Amino acid sequence: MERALRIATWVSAGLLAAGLLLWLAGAPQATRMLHAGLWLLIATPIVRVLMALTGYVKDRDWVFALLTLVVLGCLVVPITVFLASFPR
Amino acid sequence: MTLVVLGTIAAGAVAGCLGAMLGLGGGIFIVPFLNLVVGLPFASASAVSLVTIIATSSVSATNTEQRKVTNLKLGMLLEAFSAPTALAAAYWAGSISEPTLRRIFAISALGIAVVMFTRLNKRNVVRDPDFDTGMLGGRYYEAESGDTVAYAVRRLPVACGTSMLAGVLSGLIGIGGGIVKVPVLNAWCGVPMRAAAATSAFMIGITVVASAIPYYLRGDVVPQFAAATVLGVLAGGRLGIWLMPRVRARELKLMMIAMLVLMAIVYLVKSGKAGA
Repeated sequence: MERALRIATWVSAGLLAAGLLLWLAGAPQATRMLHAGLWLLIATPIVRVLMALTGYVKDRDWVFALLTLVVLGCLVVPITVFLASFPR
Repeated sequence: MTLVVLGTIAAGAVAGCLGAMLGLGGGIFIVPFLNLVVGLPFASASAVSLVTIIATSSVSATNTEQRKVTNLKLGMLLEAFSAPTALAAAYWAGSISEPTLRRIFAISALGIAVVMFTRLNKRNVVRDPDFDTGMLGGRYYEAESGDTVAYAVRRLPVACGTSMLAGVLSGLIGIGGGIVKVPVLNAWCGVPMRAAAATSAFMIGITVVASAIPYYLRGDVVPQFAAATVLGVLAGGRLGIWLMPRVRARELKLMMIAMLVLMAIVYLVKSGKAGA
């Protein structure tokens, strides 16, 4: 799982590098690729918090599960608001 | 434009290297660069910086050497204080003027420099493998001295309050907040510099995501600059991680103090002009 997160970081770096080159070349799809790289970057820490939460729940460490849930809420709620703001 | 992008990648590399060595995301170096040198508005500089710090922290968090000294429990406990304030402050930042944000940046940098300077020679380390570290303490092997280092966390409310402040600063001025937490955890809460830095790096990756979303919503993230700094920081960060065990804690602190004072002076001068 740690490995997957590490790979995700480098994939997003690859997307950003490709996007940046396309942007410098003036290609129209550059912005989309840049944003895809940025979102992948943002998703990585969220997955890490989710992993921590499942770990604490498994250990029945409810105090830390609750603390982690507070943290997760701060990340997921604004993203949900953001996605909900798109016109359907 | 190509030149500006290349310059931004280079600046990102410098920020990443220093950031990794100091256990910071490097935002305190990236924001002034983008704002003053490249000329982006403060909000955009903050937004790009926040996104960049996610990359630094992700790499740091998966680095094996760093993970050994990261105190995950303390980090998550403190993050429950940082993330909510970061989120609120990021929304708030949308209605604060550029000169005010610059002043907040300068004053924060000066305050931290003072704290670091007064505690320059403190070690906060107990060389006793049987030392009772308490629920939140930790222990790790330090290659520099060849000893197992153990510590207990003291003054937890101070650490929690500082984490809230770090969250506010993250949301307001686009830094990770490590520059606030590392000195306080080290100076007042008994956490050794290296453990404080690694734990802070772990927290920062989460704090900046909470801060970054409101900026993203407002369209403040300039994607090509974000890409340039991220790539620079990833390269520089690897160099910093390699250098970290080879640099002594005291020199790291001195370097940090010098940087902070310089940054504060430049920003106070600039914000004075902008306000006039």
